Amino acid sequence: MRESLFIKIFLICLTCLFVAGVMSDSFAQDRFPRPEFDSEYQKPHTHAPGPQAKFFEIFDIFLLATLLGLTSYFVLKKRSRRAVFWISIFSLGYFGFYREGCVCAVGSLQNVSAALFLPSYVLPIGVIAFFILPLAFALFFGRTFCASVCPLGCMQDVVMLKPVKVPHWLSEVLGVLPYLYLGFAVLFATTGSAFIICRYDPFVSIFRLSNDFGTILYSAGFVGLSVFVARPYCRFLCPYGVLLGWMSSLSKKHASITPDYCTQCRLCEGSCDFGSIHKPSNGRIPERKAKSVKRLATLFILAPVMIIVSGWAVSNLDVLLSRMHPTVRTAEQVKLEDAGLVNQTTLESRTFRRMGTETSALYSEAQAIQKKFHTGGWFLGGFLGLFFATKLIRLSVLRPRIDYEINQTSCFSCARCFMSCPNEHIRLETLKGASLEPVERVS
Amino acid sequence: MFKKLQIESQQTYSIAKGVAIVSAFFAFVVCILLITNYLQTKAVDPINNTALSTLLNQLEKDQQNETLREQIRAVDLLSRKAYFVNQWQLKTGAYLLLGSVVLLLIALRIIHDFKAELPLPEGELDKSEAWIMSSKARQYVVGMGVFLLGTAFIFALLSYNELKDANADDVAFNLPTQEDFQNNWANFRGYQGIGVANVEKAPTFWDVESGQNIKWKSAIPLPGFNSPIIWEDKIFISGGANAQLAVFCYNAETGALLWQQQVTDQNDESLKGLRVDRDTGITAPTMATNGRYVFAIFANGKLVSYDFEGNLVWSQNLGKPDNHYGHSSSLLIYENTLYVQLDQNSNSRLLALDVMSGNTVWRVNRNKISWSSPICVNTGSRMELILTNTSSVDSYDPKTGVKYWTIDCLEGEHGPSPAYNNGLLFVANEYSQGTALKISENSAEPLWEYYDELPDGSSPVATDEYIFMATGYGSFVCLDIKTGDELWLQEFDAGFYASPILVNNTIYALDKKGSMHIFEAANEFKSINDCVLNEKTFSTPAFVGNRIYIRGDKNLYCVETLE
Amino acid sequence: MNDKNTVKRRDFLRDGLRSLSTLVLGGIVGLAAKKFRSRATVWQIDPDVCTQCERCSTHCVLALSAVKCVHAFDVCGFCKLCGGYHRPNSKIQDTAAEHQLCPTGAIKRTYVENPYYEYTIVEEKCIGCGRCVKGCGSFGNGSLYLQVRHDRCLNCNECAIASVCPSDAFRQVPADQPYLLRGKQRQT
Repeated sequence: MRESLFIKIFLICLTCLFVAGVMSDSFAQDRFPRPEFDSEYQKPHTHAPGPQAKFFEIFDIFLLATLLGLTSYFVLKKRSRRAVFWISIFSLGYFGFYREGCVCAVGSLQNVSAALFLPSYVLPIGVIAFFILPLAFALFFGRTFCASVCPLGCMQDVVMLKPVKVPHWLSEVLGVLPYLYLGFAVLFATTGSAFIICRYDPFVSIFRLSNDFGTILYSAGFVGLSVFVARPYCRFLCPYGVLLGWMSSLSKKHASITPDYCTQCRLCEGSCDFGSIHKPSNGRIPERKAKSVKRLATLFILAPVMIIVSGWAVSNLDVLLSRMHPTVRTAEQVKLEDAGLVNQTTLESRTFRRMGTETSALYSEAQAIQKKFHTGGWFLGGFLGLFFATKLIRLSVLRPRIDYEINQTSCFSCARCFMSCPNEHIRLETLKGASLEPVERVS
Repeated sequence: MFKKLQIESQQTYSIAKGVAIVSAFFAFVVCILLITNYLQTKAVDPINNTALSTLLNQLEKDQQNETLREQIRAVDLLSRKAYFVNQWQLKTGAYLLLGSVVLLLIALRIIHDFKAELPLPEGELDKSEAWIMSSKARQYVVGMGVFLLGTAFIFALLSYNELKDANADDVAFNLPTQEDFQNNWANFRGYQGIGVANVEKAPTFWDVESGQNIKWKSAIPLPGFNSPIIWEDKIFISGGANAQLAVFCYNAETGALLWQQQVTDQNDESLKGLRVDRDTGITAPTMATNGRYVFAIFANGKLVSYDFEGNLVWSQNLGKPDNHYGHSSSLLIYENTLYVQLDQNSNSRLLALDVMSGNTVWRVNRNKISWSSPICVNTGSRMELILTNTSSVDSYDPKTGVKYWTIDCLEGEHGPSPAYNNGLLFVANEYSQGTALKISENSAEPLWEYYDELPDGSSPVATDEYIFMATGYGSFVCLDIKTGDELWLQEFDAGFYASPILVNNTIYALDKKGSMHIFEAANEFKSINDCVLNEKTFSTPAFVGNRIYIRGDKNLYCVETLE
Repeated sequence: MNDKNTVKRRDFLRDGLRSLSTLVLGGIVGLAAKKFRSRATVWQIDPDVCTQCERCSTHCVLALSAVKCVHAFDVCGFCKLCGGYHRPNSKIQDTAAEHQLCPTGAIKRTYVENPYYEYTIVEEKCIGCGRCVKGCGSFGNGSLYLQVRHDRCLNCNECAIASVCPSDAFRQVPADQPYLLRGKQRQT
């Protein structure tokens, strides 16, 4: 092109021939021929170690059912705290530290929700069993799963050294969180966004003894908290506990404090660190009856309003919540990049562009997900509204109770309170010769 | 008997206490060690081993250095060993910690059981307590509900749906405006690629020896003939040598090298057997930017796009150009489209690519080879994308690629890009002729021709009245744009590769030996100054704000009139 | 008397609700069973979708990722200059550390016969960054690719890598066909 132009013109033809011969082939998958060897060399096979999942799947179901049965037997029939404790140590060791936490019943509720709503989602039998078995047991025998089968519960149980008494009002307020968690977990699972229960599981990184630093700190914090607050995750976060609580409240045979009858001796009053013992109550409301009736009536009328308002509010969080879905995040990033509103690209947006899919397809997909969140938001909000209405109604009525009773919804069937009952000691004949007269029942 | 039991339990108690203290201390120590270890593991991350990559970069330059090789091997072995030992330590430490915590728990549990007291309920049983507790809880639950609802409302109000009209037809791209393009130097020869700077005044004096008016000077790691482009506070150039190709980003304020990205990977076998001329090199084409991404093309046909932070956005291989000197046509940006003039001996084509995705918007086939760069100019009623090759000047619609007109008025191997001013186009090439074309509705007509002093690499520039042109052997001519008469001819010591740039009413012409000849754009030669850089210069300087950015053989310079 | 009636009513209600719950649980099982597969699933990478972003090496819950590079020997060209083994631009094709691409030296190169060399992955050292996969994919036959190794994988319910995979290359495959291999060993 420059000084020695004419000399170079001669070279063009030569170059052309050379270039045409060599450069025309485009790179295909097999750029290099697979060699034929002259020597005895044999190509090795790619080693592919199989998963253990298949064996463990059946074994785990079997073990789960056995442990649930055993716990129910020891809680209801034998009333043995010691047995429950050793079963919980075993579960912690096996389901926790040996099987390293997956799959667990708590997380399985996401798989089941996803399977019900996502057409392509595959649900293995192990996951269904882990979801259904504890619930079925709870429906008949109370939350024996929580007592000594759930590795998360057992973890908190064994580190519980100096539990403080959480005030009733606070535990009622914090008791809202599991419902929120459940609602959001189902919403995120059914939209295919994320399994938040698994992602924010506080104990799994301890079972695995590895994770990033932040997660380990979070886990350590939860364990530290469990020393002073009895089972904080079970009571104030666990979404599966909500379902178990529903089942347990209907359970046919639930553990009771006394093996026989209550003498109202008050000795069991402080024995439950989870606040699951109802004290006797005279059932009298110290205010004008009209006031209580009016309050109840208002709540009943307000209930549908609460459902609709909260449904509307949550459905309007669709844009925000949908960002939990990776596709929506990528779509937003790509949109912002195209609009020149951000300077930095992300690995996701770069990968998307490299894949060469049309942006319009990405946008439509993301918008469809947002729509799902909008609809799902109505259901979630409605559910939460209904929950609040029910909770307020429940707190506005008073049931007379003669005896010390177990709160079947929140009781973990841990069997701790049994030994505080004098009648239990009589049953076990640890108080030789003693017998207690029943107190006169007042209605 | 009872006493004995008491003593035994007393012993158990003290043992438990001892175990608790020891295991707690042990757990604490293990914790500290684990954290230290964790931080170390971060430091010896094998994926981002900076120490090793620095050494490897050194080796690239100094292939024969055996001691460096030995050093790399040692560092490599040491860091890999450290990584796996640390991994092992972490695992072992975690088991130790778990063990000690279990021991601590058992001991604490025993201590706790010793301290356990029998339940002793205080006061009277209050049977009306339940209602009081419920009422209190009810209030707090209502509070919680209101708080949650309020939060939901606020977040619902604050959240904005970015994807609301994502697929609507009239998506308003918030891309840089034409004004932004005018105020920056987004591609070869500035806005529209016609060598006219949109600045009031540029420095007319500088001195490298004393550093006067030299704002900064920064070394360029890899050589190349491409010219700097500037967007706001960033400068981009590319460079290449041996089997290496890279893109560099400098800070326009300080001259600091902000990032560099290797374009080469194993794929650049493509560079091997690639025949390029010594005067073209493998990085002749100037880069381009749309203010969001930067684009670079190389002699091996690799086209890459990075964001301003240096992340690869997209890349494509356009195939090894069949070009006996090496591909040298620069990239051009107009609105959302990147234009790639891929003229070569066979399979010549003009590509219009979407700047964001790199997807082809349109392509037209061309038939000749060329080394010149495209320009995109407003010819009155429309924008025209004008290209030259070894035989013709062609004009296309930048939106669709539809050809507006074509004129055969060139021959020989064509390097210079056209000059343009107000409907008048001037194309020229050494061993050929210079032709002025009057662009009118859907056609162009030759006005006059000129045969004497013709450029081979440097592109001409046009004002309202004159055309200025620099040749490869050092002569500089001024022609009357209306008639083609040679108004004056000035002989300089060195030839020109860089294209002269028109700054307001001044011409800046940089010769091969680093002299910037500054003179008036007038009908007679009136020199303003000659400023010298002490190195060879082949690239066209860039003019932004009140600064000049010059790429020398080894260094990048920023010239600014400093007080 | 009044009390007894209340208790009876409550028991009746509970019995009813319990039956209802049983039905609901049964219903869920039934609905889920419609798409129920008796086979357990495990996570796997589709090598055709993988872009080797290196996140596999950093996002696995295990300290040393369960994702490793595997080698399809029957696709391999046994080249002397290997895009997966050698650093770009290394002029001498030997086993010196400065020429190796793998950050942990996890590829073993053994001489077979002139001019062929065998490349084997030492899994204990492989961290699953996929640099060799990238090298082999852009220069060679693509015989190196990333796979979840099931002797290491914990099969988390939500795979931590899958949730950050930019190209969505992870999917759950039946446990009895746990690999998406290349070459002759590819399963259908």
